[in-house]
Amino acid sequence: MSGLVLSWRPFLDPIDAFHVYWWALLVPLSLGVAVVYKAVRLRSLDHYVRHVFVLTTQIVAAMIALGIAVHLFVEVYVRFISGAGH
Amino acid sequence: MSQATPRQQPAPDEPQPVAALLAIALPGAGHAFLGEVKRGLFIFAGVMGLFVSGLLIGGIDVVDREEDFIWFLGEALVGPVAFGVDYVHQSHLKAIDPGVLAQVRAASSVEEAKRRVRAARRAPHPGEQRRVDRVPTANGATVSVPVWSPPPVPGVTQATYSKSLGRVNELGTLFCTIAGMLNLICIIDAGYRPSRRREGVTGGVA
Repeated sequence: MSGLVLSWRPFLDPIDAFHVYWWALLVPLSLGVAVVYKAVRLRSLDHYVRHVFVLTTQIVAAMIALGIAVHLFVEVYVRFISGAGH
Repeated sequence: MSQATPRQQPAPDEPQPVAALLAIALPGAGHAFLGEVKRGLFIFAGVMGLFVSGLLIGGIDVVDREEDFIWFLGEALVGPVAFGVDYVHQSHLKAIDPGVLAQVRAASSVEEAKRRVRAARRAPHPGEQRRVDRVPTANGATVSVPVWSPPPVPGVTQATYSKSLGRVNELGTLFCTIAGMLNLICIIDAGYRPSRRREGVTGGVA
């Protein structure tokens, strides 16, 4: 009974799973940006889907690369220079 | 070399205020008005897809003119839809604490009572249910006031809606705001169509 009452209601309740899997939202966010950007930017929409796919992939790859770079900076370089000071 | 355009007037590089206004009213409508229906549909799908996804991820709480005004400025660029969602959130989902009812009763007019309700309304705490009371004001008039009631069975009953918190709230808000910012680009593009798009060049990125 309580499971029924406390069910998820679209648009009224947040999707709590994304507290853990928040990083998965990078893909739909990138896709949405690419869909609109390419719709405005392309002269011809003949190869629209391919352009959207490429841009989405580029955004996701760039974000992953940026994440790795920041991780390395914090975990390796900052630890290194903080350790060198002691 | 110019090619025949879907709509001949006005000239290609002239400002197109009607298209811009339509793009403000509904994402993609400006481009559709200029004859580029497919492009308009893609814009509509992208902007509204992001906006609805944000609402789905964070709930209606991510569109809140009163609590997140700066973010709402970005969300408002989606158009009347964002204002409609905020209206539903503020007027049909939020309510006030029962303790504020005394201030509403002391109001000298209906307008004053409504102003006090607007200033005090908030999202529900876990389990709270929204009810609407008819409250008499000091001048004898009555006003409808939404009030939060405590849950009849603590810990079991679901609130009228849930306030999103943490990352879920941040990401839902981000989706809705990015949708608005992207629509701003589309509004400007519809209002000032560059002539290159009317030259019939196919393929490639402009």
